[in-house]
Amino acid sequence: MKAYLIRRLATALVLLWVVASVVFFSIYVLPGDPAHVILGGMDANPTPEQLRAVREKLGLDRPAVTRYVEWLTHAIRGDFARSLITDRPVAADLLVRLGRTLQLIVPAITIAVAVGVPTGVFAARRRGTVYDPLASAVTLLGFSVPVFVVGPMLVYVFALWLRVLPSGGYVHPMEQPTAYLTYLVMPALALAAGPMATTMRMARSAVLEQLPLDYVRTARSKGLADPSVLGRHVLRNALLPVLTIVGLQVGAMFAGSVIVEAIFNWPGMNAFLLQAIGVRDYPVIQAIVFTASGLFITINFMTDVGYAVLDPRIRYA
Amino acid sequence: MRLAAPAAIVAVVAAVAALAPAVSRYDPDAIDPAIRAAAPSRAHLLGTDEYGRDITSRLAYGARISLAVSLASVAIALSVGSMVGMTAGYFGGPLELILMRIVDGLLSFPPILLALFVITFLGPSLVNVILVIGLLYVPRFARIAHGATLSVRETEYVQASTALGATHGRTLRRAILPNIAAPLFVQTSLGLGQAILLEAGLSFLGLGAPPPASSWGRMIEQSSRFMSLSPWPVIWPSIVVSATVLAFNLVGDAARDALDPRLRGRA
Repeated sequence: MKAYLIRRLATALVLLWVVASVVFFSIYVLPGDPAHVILGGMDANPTPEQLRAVREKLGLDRPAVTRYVEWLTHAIRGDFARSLITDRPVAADLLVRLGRTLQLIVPAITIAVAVGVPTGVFAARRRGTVYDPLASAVTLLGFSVPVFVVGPMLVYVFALWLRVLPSGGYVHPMEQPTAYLTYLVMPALALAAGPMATTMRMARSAVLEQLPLDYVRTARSKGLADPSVLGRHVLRNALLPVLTIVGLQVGAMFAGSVIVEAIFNWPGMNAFLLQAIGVRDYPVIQAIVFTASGLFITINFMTDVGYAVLDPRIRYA
Repeated sequence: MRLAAPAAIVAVVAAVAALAPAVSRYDPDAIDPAIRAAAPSRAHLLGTDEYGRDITSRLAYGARISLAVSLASVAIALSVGSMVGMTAGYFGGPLELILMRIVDGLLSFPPILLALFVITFLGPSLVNVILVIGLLYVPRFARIAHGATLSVRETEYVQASTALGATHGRTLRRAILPNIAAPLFVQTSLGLGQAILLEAGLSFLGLGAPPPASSWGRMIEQSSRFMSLSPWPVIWPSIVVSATVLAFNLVGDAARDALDPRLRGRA
């Protein structure tokens, strides 16, 4: 077990390093002076003063190697220098924004799992009755209807038509808890829709895979009632692939939250990123991509660990 | 039977995309403020959007964009990815290690973030979107090709090919490639639907083909700001996108079920 964990951890760290390097060297990839790349774009024509300002701020005249090492050592500590535009330290803003994005992701994944798993199990048990194809249809829909369709639809129904929820925005949860919840509901639901469908599908097929196996027959012939069979034996085995999928979904939610934050004006990390891209605030872009990827890698790592914990066979892989 | 409906939808979308100019009665970019957000009528089958542009025509041209992007990007991902995966699996050694580590590295970025990041530098355009989405899917194809190559590598016919003195290229092309084609095909059909989704998402964020291109995602985004005026300009492209992605997913599922029953049920 330990060897496996250490190996996985080493891989994760290597990947983190690769990500950091890619993020750093990306401005050198395009032909031309890095300052120009940062300020440029298809139509922009930066003035010499602007170029000089960017060069100074980012220290581009110093050798790349020095800056690279500096970037690595700082990034690990979470020091991401200052924004090009607002000159505020990036790390502080990033933390706040990240927190807000997590306020979307955590409820969303909770909803997805809390609704998806039981429904999937239910559909598996009721195979052959009318519920199963119904569940499959709902799943397929949730799977294929994109976030940016679910979002506006929710806005239309609840904000414009029924007028019970605000169409977007954010308040601090500590200051106005009830209002905060109204702002949270729709984005969290929109974000949860797809993963909920995928989780349900996975849970259903995972349980279905287990049911014909011998140990289930043994458990039943021992006299165990179905709920016990399910709870004590089947689920432990079925949850494995579900866990992997859930881990993947959390990662996918990073992507989904970009769109959700845009639709609902939720000032999270992804909104921050879109903003920074708009004004070409490179230090911010760098910091966010690195942090998000780091989180992504961490989540994948933890999924692997969870997998190993649940299935002893994996530990020897 | 179950395949008929989705396959039909795919066929219709493809046909509309190919024949867009013929199918559209109006220039998709023709603005006419007098008939803003008009309801469906005989003149405009699906009504007009908030600028008075005919929705049907815009959807038709949008189909072009979606299909072009998804086909091109999946083609890129398939060719590059399977080359990388096959090479890594066949030659093994340090080459395999390096190649697969790069692949893993690509997979460490949350997908849309990587797309955003790249498009920041390259600028939004149709070609860039294709390249980015292609790049995003390379790891998937590479992994599948790699795994499949590993399992095929030790079989007798591959060994026979080498023993007969075939060059590496020949062995790869003749012996290995045909036998790893099945899972690659499955991933291709699944990837098409996902690529459409990704392209629409990027357009929604404003990073896709620049205006006035009427990509479905962009149509939804623009029209969603005027939903209080009329929800229909949002509803039509929403239905079209969802139905198309759904159809592609179902066709992909059917392909997967037909070719590799072991994968059935995997999301």
